[in-house]
Amino acid sequence: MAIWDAYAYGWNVNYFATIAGIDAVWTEAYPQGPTIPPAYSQWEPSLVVDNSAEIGSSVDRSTGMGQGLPFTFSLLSNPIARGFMRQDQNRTNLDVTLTADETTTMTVQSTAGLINANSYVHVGLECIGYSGSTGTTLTGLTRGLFGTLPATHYAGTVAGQVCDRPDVWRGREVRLYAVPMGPDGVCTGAVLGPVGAAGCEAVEVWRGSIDQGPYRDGNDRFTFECLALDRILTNPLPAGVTGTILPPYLGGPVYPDQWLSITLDAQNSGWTSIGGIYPFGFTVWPFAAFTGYTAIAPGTLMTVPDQAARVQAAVTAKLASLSGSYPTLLGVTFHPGYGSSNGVDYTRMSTIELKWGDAPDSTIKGMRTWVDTSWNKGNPWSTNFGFGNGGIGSVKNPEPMQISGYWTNGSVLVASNESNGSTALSGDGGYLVQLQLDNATAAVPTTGTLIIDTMAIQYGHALLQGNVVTLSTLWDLSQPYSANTGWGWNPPADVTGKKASLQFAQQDLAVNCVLKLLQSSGGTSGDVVGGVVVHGTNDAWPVGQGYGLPDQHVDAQNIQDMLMAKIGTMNLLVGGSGVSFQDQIGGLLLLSQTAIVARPDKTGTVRLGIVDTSLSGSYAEVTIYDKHLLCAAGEPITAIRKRDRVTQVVASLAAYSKSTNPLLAPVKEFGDYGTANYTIQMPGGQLEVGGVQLSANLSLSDPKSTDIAKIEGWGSAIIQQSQYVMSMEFRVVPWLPVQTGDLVGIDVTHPALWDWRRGVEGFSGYARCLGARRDLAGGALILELLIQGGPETLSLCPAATVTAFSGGSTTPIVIYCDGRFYNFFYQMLQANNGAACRLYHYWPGKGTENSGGYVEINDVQLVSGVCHLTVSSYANLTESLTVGLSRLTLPPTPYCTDWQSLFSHAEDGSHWGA
Amino acid sequence: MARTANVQNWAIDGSAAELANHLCGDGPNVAPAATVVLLMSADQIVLNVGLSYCQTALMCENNTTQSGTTREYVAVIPPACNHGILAATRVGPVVSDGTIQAPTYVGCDHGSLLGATPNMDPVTLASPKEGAETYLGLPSGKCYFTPDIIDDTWVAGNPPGTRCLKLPEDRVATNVTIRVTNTAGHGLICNRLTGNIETL
Amino acid sequence: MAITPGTKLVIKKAQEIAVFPAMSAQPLQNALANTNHLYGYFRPLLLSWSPMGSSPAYNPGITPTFIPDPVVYVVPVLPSQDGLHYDFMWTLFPKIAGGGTSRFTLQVEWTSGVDPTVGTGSTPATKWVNLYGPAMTSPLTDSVWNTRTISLVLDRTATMLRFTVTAVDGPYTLGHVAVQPSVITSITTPATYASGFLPFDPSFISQARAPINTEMVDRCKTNALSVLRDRAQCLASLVQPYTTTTGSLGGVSYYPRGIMQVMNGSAASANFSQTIGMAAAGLPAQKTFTGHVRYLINDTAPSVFVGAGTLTVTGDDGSVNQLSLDSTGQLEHGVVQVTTLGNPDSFVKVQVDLTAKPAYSTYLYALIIFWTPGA
Repeated sequence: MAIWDAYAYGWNVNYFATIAGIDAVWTEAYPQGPTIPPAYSQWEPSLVVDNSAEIGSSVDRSTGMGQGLPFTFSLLSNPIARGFMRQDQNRTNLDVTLTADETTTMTVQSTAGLINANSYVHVGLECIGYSGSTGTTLTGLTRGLFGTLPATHYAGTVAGQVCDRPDVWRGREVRLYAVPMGPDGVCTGAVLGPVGAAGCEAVEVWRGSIDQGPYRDGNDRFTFECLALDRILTNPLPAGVTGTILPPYLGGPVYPDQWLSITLDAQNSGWTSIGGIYPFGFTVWPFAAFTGYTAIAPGTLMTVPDQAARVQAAVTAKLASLSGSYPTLLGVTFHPGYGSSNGVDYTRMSTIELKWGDAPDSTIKGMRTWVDTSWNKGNPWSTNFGFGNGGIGSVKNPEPMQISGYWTNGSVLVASNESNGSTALSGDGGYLVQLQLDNATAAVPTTGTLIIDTMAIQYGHALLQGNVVTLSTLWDLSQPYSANTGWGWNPPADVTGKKASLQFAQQDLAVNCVLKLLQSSGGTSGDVVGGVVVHGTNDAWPVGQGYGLPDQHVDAQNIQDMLMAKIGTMNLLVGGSGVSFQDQIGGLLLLSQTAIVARPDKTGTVRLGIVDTSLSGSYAEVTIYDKHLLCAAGEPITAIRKRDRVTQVVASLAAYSKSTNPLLAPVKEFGDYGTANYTIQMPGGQLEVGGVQLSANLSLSDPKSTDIAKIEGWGSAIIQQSQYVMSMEFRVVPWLPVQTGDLVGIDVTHPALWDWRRGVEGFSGYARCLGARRDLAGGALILELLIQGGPETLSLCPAATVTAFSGGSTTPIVIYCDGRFYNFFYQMLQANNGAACRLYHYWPGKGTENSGGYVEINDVQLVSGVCHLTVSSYANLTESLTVGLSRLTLPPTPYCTDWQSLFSHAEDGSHWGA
Repeated sequence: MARTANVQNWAIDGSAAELANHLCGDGPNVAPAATVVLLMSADQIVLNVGLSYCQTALMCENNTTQSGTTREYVAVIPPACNHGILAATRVGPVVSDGTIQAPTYVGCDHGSLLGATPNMDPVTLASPKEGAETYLGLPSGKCYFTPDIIDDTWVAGNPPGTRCLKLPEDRVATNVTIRVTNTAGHGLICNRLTGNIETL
Repeated sequence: MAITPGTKLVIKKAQEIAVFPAMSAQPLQNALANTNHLYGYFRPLLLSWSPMGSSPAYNPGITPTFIPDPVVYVVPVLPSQDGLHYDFMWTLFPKIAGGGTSRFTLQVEWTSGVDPTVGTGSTPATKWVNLYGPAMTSPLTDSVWNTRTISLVLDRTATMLRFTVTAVDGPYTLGHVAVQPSVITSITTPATYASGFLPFDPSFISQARAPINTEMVDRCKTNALSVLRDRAQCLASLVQPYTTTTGSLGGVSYYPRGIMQVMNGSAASANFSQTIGMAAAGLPAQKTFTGHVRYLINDTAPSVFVGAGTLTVTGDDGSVNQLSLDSTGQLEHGVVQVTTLGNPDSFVKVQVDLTAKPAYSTYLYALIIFWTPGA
């Protein structure tokens, strides 16, 4: 970036900072020249940054996470600064919840004392302007001033306080900028900001939020300690949607189009149908209108006993409307149960009990009955029963007619999705639990887990109405099926009023998971207020499922571009209790040799993006030369360390346990391997001495063979690359535009690096910048560079073809081979001080290859392009020398000269190269 | 580090020119140990190689010996035509009344090949790029159909276009059935049956 | 000493070879042993052909007529230079009235010359050398496909094979003849193999601290290539009976069934062409393809007919190559080259057209396209 060139020409850099919600641009020196950014009304030259440690970022390859360095700054204690820090404030409370998109009216208890010349107030972290006011309202609102974001502020909460001065500092966004400044104190550019505007030559250097402060330091300054943007990603996500439990009850929603169909078949004493009107069937719609009853509104919740009573009324009314004599239906009861059928576990099995009175006439001895319902997906229920006034056999009335059947979708009296097209609570029955949510959320996934204290209850359906969510098909997965008798989970009596939370799992393509994890806040994605996108484009998950980072903090395009090819096709299952971005995504990043970090990008802003942390690459925009090196305490290049030799990479599937989050069932194993861990390691296995294991937890939802192939390839690449890597710290001039994650070229002669290939000091090649930080006081740039060292690879031994020989084929005197071997054999003898060296003879393909014996060579000559080897002795030449077929090669190590052992022998510690 | 091409191409291609560059030559083209030169990389070693097979095209027509008016042509595929790591093809269902359906071609991840049991396991090669590749370019587990590459349809008595040949008049045909039987369970032949259907 | 090849390729997993293995005998030794396996078990089809017509005068649906004349096929061949054993597999479908068993007499001869009409010269180039039979098969089961396999050594100089089938008991169909290298369970170690293959014995490389040398590394490649190139594969075939009796084309009294010849009427004034064969051959992952064509064509015109036919090969990428075929009555050869997309399902289309001069006929005895990868 051009800004840092200022240093090269003897200029300086003027730093300035903004604090969200504070109408001031804090600068180091008075910025003559450019005008202040239009959003602000004043600037104040009281910024002190010299005491800050170096700022910047680095990435940790073993976690895939960036680590932005903290930034500490101070403001001189002058009137403007003090004005913001003063504690005496006028404050009031919101009377009406102020939604994020409200621009008309803010209703408060009293505006007395709030109105001032600034025409803005602070609510939480947001700064809101107003154009008009009454005793209890502020009107004509301008949301999100001075870099704050419009948000919803809830009346009746601590966050609903309205002040005329900033009340809360922690969490305010801080941005640090830099602009070139000449020796005369004039800064360049026509405007100081925003970055990227025409005529603005400032760049953003650091972004984060206040963690501590302001506090007064010994120099009477107000000091702030701030943490970088990416530090948030190690924070565990909050529990999710939270709320308070309302009284549960037993029942479910009913719909008027639910039907019950009964077939009655009166039997004679021989248990055959007596005929006549029998068998006959009829259908009732208990929740629609019938004689004496009005229709129930669709989705109305009814308790189980109420539903049973309604069924009885409907059947009775129906029978009364038919001609003929029918038994009287005395009562209907629903009984809970549980079990399984056909290999499928049903959460509940329920029984309808129809209790009939006396037989209508004496010829009827018994009754066969079929019952079918719109919500029974099994077979119709049928049974036989006798009557009170003389039944047949052992089946007598008033024994209740128990008709059993399997509900495929849960318990009784449910709104059946399939039969009536309901999209609301479906297949639900048993107890319903309602949760009064603490915060509004746009949506609640239909399945998830209800966490109350230490209980984790799975729910099968959720219906969100306003701020109340109704959960049904509740099942306590920590208990066996048999314990969930009756209506599924039986809420304990004291559950009402308890705080609870809902947790969900999200399953999506990996890139989508990353973006949604970063940006979700439960809002509606893309909400725009006053031209500002309030909720990020990828804000799709409910509150608590993501970090809620707005678009301006997330370089979504970069994330997509970088990750799509690598992890894009993988499916992830994310969302556990108390897990962070690092827990869920870090494993994939580190395996694919990428990392997420907040760093200045090409547009000059600091945003979260993905960088490559591998050593692959062949194009570097920047090359570091000797002239760029800066000495500090004598050394511009220091070796940080030889990096860990990774010899084993273990990829594990996310260990979500049922007890903490039962919704996330244990993920399948890796394909054929039958384990939750997949290990890639050096040949020879195990953790070699001096080697380390790299662990990667993966949130794959359904690992496919292509995923495993990728993981295997990544693991192999990591192991291969990590064998010989060094981290070096380079201290360079400030005007090198190098950022974390860049591939840089290196062409230096400093002896700290050694090019063993050429045998000279210095190094020429590529390195990956794992960290870039800037000394704010002096401007120097300190880079942590990852450099690939070299493997210990040796040359292969030659195998010279025998082209001719004198003497006998087993008694050679001189052996001839191609002249290009001359140098080799010459050096071999030289290095042995002229003493004879052994060469082994073998005949490829001739059977037992180890039967060739060996010769001792004590002289070599080059004659007309032919290498002559003089044989001083030989042994075991049982396989005769054969022209064109025999080969001469080096002996096994025990018989090698020192020089000969410099070439590859089995197990000599060298490696097949990279 | 200089990296030469990986091995997975040459085993299939077999072209001499490409192979020449893959392995180091013989002899001391390196200096002694003081300047180390990388010669070989693991993936240049021939480790997992299968050799290529083509699938023969048979051009023939045959009168068979079935009774009645149904003729059957059968090409019996010899055993152990081992396609190893490569896709094999088969002739699809063919022929109805007088119409010879063009064969379809199926390439399969071998092991799932019409119940055949190839006697060679899948081959995995190292890849210098991220992610190992398998099957020398044939993605594992993938089955696919190529479109019919023979687009002629024969109707008894009316062979199309240029395939008319003179035949003795005493031949008759109504239905023609073509069936390919793989007796060994290995490998198959992609096949185009040519020749004539005799006509009444 | 003989070397026993492994019966399977030993596959190294990616992580065993991609992750910086130590310089040692393995995995090199495994690679070399794999080449031994290739030598013993790489058995592509040298010949695969289904004849045009077999039994003469046979009419399904009409009472089969049994004529026990031998049927002769002359087929070009391109054998291994290592003098390998080959399995010859005949597939026959006997159909005799009343069922029962059938026997056949089979004979295989070879020559290294180019003239199929040679009589009894003194060298293989000038005569047909008997390789097998004539020998009667064991009885075949009626109305089913039967296969008989014979293992024979094929001389490396052979250019043509002559197959003779004679039915002893009744009508039949010759379905298919296939020739492929036999399994070699024990590889001998002569001084050299003509193919260039060098059998691998691990005793040298597996000794303690053995030298890892260039020859051994190279051998992985050269062995695999040698085997691949030495064993020609039959890409396409079109074979018709040579004649049912020896002699020239005009000497037969009737045409065998299923024979295709292109005939041009005497009143015609121009040559007449017909497509006589079309097929597709799979060439998985072969971006370039070179085919060695061997064929025998004859015609009734008095002199040699140059351009009596055309072989067209089309790759699935659209590339086309044509070879002009000459009718000389002798073994002719040519080369075709096309490219394909190089996909696992890539293929080439093959088409044979014949041309007849006015008042004459042209007849193709056999056409085989051999594929020797990389050559």
